[in-house]
Amino acid sequence: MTQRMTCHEYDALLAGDLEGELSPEERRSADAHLLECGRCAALRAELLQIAAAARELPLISPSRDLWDGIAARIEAPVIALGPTTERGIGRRQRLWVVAAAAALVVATAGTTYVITKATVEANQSQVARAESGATRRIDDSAGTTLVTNSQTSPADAAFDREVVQLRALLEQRRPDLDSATVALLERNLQIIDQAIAESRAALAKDPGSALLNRQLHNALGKRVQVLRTAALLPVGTN
Amino acid sequence: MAAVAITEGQAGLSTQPQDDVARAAAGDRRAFERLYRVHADRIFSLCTRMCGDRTMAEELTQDVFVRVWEKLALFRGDSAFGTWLHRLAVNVILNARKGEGRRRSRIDESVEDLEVLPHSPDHVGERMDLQAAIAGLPPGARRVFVLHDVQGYRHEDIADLLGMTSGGSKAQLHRARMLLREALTR
Repeated sequence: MTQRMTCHEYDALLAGDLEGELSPEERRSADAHLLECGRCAALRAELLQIAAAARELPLISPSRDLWDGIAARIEAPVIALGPTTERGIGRRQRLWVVAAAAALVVATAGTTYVITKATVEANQSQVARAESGATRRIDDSAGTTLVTNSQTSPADAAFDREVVQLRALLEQRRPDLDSATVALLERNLQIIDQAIAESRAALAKDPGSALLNRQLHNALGKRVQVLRTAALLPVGTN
Repeated sequence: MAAVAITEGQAGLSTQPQDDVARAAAGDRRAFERLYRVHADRIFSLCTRMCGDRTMAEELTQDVFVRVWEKLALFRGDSAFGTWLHRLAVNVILNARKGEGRRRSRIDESVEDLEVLPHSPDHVGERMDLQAAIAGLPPGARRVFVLHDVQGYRHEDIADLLGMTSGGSKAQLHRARMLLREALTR
């Protein structure tokens, strides 16, 4: 005697049913169940309807003419330099910048790692140094200004130095990068910067808090991590 | 060189599309613009549905046609130009997604595995249309749904494109359909 299929059992077969992958035996059981179960029959019909409607979706037009942007990119001026092609030049230049960025990231990341590791190991129960409200400013070539506590630890200072270098690198590479990605990065950096500022403000009130120190350290590390990622982004969406 | 404006009505009528493919491959930018105008909506639709964002889709559409321009000389005519273009577009979209995914995974927390429902309509009682519901799907489910149910790709091809198993593609498709049903019947 064949046992009747339950809704639970049919649910397990539903995906295969829609794909036409049921065995003959499963097909018979499923059909019998569908004849007597309105819930499963309706579910199956609705899913088939969605698949059918998807095939009939109309085309969508962009809200603006995209051709000008395409034309600008494919009609970039050709610089005649002997037999070298336009694409070859651009590609080599971009690759050089990316390679330089990679070298810088490796160098700065290494320095930061050594300093921060040494600092953390030397002072596991690091006490904040934020008694004084004095700040110092580090200006980089890209116009970025970092405001840090005057008694910044070696670890924090290492992070700050790397941030300055990475921000300069990001500015240099900005024209080659996908604007949406850069915007996303900037938003993330703003959030992290805010977290750093809040951590430092909290530490000023409670310099001995290991938790706040750890939070600040994590936020500084996060900022450097995001900037390293940004500095090594591939050109455009390629 | 300034772009030459060609109306949609003119595009594709003044010359045969195959001629335009050959001319564009030889560097004729007017022919390439005609090809763009013939295929722009189809590629934009694909981009929009795959990434779920019209602004990003516009950028991706431009990326696709720039890539087509760069690769056109390699088009051998073994398949129809439209098929070749479509395949290239899918690759551009997925590569952009991979790059973006790598960046996001190091920047933001991934939302890929969250069991989220497509965003509900703004007004209670207003049924969401399928296009909006697709845009609200989780990225992985959306890509598989669009490739399979909208574009007609087979699970084996989707698995190759997305670096997953065929079973994974089927599971994502079913998940997408169930989420869409829930969104459309709320």
